[in-house]
Amino acid sequence: MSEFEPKIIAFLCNWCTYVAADAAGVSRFVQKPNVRAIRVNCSGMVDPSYIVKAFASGADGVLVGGCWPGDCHYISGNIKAMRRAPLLKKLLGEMGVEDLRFRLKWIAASEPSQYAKTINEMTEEIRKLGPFSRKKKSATRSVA
Amino acid sequence: MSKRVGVYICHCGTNIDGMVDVEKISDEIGAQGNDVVVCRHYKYMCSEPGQKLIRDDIVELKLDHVVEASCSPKMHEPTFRTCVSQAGMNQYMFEMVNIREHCSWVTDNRDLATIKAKALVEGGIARVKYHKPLVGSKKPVTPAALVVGGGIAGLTTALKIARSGYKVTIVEKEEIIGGRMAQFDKTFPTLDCAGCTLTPKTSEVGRHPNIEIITKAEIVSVGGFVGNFKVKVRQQPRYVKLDKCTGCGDCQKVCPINVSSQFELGMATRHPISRPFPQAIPNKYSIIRDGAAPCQSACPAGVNVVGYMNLAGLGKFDEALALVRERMPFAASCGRICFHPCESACKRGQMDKPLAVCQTKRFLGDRELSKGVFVHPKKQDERPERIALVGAGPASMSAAYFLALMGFKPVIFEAAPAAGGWLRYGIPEYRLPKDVLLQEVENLASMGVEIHYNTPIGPGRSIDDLMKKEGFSAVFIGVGAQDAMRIPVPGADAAGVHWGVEYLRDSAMGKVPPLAGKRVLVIGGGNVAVDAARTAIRQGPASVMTISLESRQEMPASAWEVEDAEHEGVSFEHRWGVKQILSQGGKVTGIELRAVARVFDEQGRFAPTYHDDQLTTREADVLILAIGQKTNMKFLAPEDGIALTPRGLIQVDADTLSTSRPGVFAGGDCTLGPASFVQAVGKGREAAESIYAHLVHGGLREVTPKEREVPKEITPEERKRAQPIPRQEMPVLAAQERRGAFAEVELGFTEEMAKAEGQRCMSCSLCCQCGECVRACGPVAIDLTQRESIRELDVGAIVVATGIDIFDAKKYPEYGHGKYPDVLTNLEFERLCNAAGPTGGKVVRPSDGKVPQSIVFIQCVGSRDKARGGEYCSKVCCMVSAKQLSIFKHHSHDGKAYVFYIDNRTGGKGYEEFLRRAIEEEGATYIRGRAAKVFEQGGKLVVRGENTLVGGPVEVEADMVVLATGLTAQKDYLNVARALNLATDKNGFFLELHPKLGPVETSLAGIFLAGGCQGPKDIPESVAQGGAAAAEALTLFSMGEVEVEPTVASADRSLCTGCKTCVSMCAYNALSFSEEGKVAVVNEALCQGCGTCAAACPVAALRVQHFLPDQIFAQIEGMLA
Amino acid sequence: MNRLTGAAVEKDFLSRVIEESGQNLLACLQCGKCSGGCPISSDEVAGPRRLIAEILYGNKRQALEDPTWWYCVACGTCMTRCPVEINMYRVATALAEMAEEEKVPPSEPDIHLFEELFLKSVEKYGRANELKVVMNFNLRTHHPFKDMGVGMTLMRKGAINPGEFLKGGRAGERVARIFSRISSKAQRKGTGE
Repeated sequence: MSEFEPKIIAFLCNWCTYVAADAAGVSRFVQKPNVRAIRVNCSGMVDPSYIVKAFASGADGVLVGGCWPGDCHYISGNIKAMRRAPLLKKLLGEMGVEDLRFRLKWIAASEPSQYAKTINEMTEEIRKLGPFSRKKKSATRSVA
Repeated sequence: MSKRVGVYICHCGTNIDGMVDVEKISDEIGAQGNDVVVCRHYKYMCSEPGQKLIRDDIVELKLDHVVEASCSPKMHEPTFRTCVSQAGMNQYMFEMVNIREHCSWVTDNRDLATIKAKALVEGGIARVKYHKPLVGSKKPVTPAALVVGGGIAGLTTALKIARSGYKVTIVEKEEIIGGRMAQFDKTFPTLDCAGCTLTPKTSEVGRHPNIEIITKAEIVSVGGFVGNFKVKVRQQPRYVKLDKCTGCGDCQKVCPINVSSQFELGMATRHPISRPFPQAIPNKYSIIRDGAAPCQSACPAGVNVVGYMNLAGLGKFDEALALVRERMPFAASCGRICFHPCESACKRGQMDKPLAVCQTKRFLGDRELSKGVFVHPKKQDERPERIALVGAGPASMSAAYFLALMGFKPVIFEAAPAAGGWLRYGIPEYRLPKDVLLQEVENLASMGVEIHYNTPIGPGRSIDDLMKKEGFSAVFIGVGAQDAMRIPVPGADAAGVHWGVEYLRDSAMGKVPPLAGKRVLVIGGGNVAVDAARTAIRQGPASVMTISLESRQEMPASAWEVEDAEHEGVSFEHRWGVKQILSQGGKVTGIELRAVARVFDEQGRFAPTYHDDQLTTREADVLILAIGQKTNMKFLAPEDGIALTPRGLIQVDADTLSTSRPGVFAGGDCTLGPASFVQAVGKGREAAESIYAHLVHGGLREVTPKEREVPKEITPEERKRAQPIPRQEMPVLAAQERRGAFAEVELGFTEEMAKAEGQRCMSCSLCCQCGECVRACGPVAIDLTQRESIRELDVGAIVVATGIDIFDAKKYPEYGHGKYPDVLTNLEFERLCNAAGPTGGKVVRPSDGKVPQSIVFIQCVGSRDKARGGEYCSKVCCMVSAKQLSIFKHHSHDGKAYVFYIDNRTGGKGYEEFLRRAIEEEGATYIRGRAAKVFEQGGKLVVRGENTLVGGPVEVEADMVVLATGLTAQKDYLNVARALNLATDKNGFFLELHPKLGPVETSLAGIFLAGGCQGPKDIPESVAQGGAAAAEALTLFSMGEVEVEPTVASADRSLCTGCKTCVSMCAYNALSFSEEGKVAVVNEALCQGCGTCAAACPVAALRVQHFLPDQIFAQIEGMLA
Repeated sequence: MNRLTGAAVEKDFLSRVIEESGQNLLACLQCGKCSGGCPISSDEVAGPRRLIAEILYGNKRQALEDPTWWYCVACGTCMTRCPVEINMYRVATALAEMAEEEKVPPSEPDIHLFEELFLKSVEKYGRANELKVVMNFNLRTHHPFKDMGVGMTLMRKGAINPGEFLKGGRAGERVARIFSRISSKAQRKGTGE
């Protein structure tokens, strides 16, 4: 019996979340091995098309990690990411992507335990939801 | 085009290989072909042999792309980029995959870790094939450094950089450099005197030609990039010129104010002009001022109320009056009639009663009058221009005063027989005696102001004439609002009906209608009505009643005037409006009134409504309708060109007070509507300054930034400063003596009363700008007009050394800090020991000044406490307490020291030995157990805890308790972090690049850390880090240039649709819209590469180099395959 | 003397107490601030810090026989001041329940007796019938007339109703439910509330 192992793509901002992820590694916080991280300069750099591409290419979940509002290295890039998120969630919902599959989370460089916790929680949530399939029309439609 | 990719996977010893099957991945990838020409694995790829593998393959196998799978790119991306470029490959054709921090170190299942690692590598391979060779531009490095913070770390950095021949600017928040070390007495483990080790450094820094120190300054923002930073610095005014001050201290001796000293942690006071200790660098004095006090801000004339009240408090009445005269020409008059908004704003009013400012000013004015002198600021050199002023009321007289001081020749034209305007013909004598006013007018004349009486300006001699025919260079109109406001009331033409303003004027001119035995009714609720009532009551009437629309609280008349009127026998009725005047045979018999429903509407405007069915009548022989004042503009001729507002006031520019005719200015009631005396005086001065600007500078005005106001709420510190003196009661004429005559009601303060009032002032602004120090300063070094200023610096490297603050002991109420005076913190105890401290270096109890016999130290206050403080250990406190008890023992050989500790962390060089000496030689008793509480019993302090080594509770009697409070980040650490874009850890300390290998670097190129701001540490570590940071900066300078990463945005013109969405996205203004091309344009010098614009671009015309959509898409696909 | 062997026994006791009390005892610094302020600690009664030390080192017998958790009055001083926020009362409760289960003879039999009588009274009457509880206690501890003087004064002043000796009220449904719920929970050994 092989358990379903979700595949999660994470876009991590270079200045905060990526550093937190590294620090989590340095501190050896055990995490589920389901996340594949892509380093971006800022959470604001994450084009919605990347997220759609991820789901379309077989990802079961997508995480975007950025700095806390007020602490963005590029001043307000994370605010723009925050503004895009609700609309994106709505669109993804139309595509059959459940609410819990896409997360925008603020994780500071000094919060490696938060990073590890987020990864683990998200993995389990998505494991419960099962694999993402575009063909699954019966997927719950969520209004973001 | 074929691609030749080389893939290298690192074992990293067992760090990666221990959890990830590196060989397996390497074999599988090597076998799959698909552009992968070679795939190798090696134990340590970052080592020289590892790198050689890559370099050799690039050359021999003609690789054009390289993927490295090992640790975090934040660790070694630069290493490998350099490696490939050494072999001739563009460094951006390289991609690094993190399979250590993100994979092997965090996974506990070997199979899953291997699958994940392989997926990550595949992602990297897929992505790298889309990489383009990019070339960054080289920019020169500005060979100058900025050091933020002048403590021991910052000073070390500054000296090392300066000695190497480069310029350094130190920006320090306090008045002096030296930081915390300047507050210490001795340092451990050598027990060197802190000052003796610090002052050679501060002295050298102060003298060094390459170092500039900017004190009282903070960083506002940092722009630019490594090697090319543009820094904005905000400097608070010192009010002392550094090049002139000799440090003699004469200023401090005469300063009347005492405030709590921050440097002495509240254990001593300082004068606002002060120097923390004689060896401070800069060795100059400095004034602390919080801003403009509420009284000064509230005064429409801008009089320095705080200043002159404090001078009066010293008994320096001449100087006090001189300060008044800088803004207010009429002290005796003002002190009688002003509505004193300063008193309403006075913060002392939040404690007991506000200062009696107005009455004190009157005392100053009267005193001068009795001496027959007239004090005013020095007149400037004479100027040829003559200025005409229309009307001799307070506005014009004020303008004339200031114009005369400026050297002009003012000429006032007054239609009435005497000067004063409303002061003469509106305000009754019992408030402002004629001879006082006369004297003040004569003083004006003595300054060279010409006044022509009975000389109206109007038809026959218009303003136009004044300017064109009589050669006046400018005109000021101050005609006031001296006509009575009339309402069309039926029956108002009967005999015995007077209008308020006219009644007052007639009274002033001696044309009094006979009132003996008559019943007088005054209609109105303002000061004119009350003045009319009080004037009438003095003329022997049968009765005087005042009826107003407004209720008692709503009445616009000053409350104290109404009280005085009642005291004199005037009765008041409220909330009645006039319906019609009743008369018989042409003489007034009474008035019919209707009840008022409401006076003010929802917006607070005057719009009375009535209950017309509720009527009543009152009988009267004389009726005075005092319902308002209005302007009389009949004197204006069309050729004057003066425009009026719809309300009938003269239209003026709000800033310059210029009318619609250039060269003609106006102020006072004629522009504001019926206002106040002090507002008129204020406008007079503003107009004079505008006239000066108009005539001398062609209209250009220098705008001095306004001082900020101090907070309006009274602070506990101010309450402590307030002297317990009650407000002086003004002696008044008894009520029965008042009715028959117009003698002055208020009799005036005495010298003692004025002095007492002055001493009640808490000086909310700290420095009150009284000018005593200015007068005492021989070298003329004090400049009270200084304001906040902004400076821009161009530097190549920034070192942040902002230091630490101390934990607030009051968060542990069980220890009694703030409750028991003999419970101190380490730093407060240090100040007691310091020879320049509040007790001159004597360790004595704050409560009674006695030398303590037993001192108990309580360790870990605020440290090692997840619940209430910081979880971390503050590192130095074990040594600090050992040091302090040693100092105490050297002072008091018979004294006894106890220390309640958890552990002794004495890890530095010589530290453990020092501690042993404290225990074995100084005989200190160390009790292992965190103290539970401090309480008082039988007059002694008792500390209770558990003796954990022996077991069981223990109590120790103490004469003094010292709390070893932990080190925290500075309170304003967030401001510094935001200004520089620094990351902080959860305790507020700035985040270093790597805790082991990069303790002074940050993730921001060109910005470094040193000292306590990076984490609690002792002096040797701070000095070491200071040197390390200096080395980082010097490395940049000697490189001479930096390569700017080419990962910036670029716009594809062929795709851009001109929607302009991106332009508003950019936080750096790097995007603009080109009107000619109708496309977005990227300024690469400003672009930081964040990518927010690219993500927002609907057509992907904007992309960030090295983060192209193709690359990201490929990486996603590769990872999920 | 204790010899630590890495055996499961030591770890089991510690993990059991951690689980049942819900407190992370491993965070304890052994700083002693708790015992320093503990009103019932003395030279004889060690106080919370030593109790935790006994648990940390797996000294099960010592911990269960430590009088500290008998004397604890739940004043909360230790918890308020503990830098790692250990709720000592829950630890004491966990130990009390463990001792009861494993039938460890109480180190303070008098206190144990009093608590038993108190709970029995509540179970039967729905409240602590003070007169009966104290009289029973004094009888069983062989001091029948110890508090007679105080008792008389209280009765005279109306603070205690002598009629209670005969009647004393009746426990209601809800009280009975509480007791049955607790005892069945204890039987299921799923304590830790």
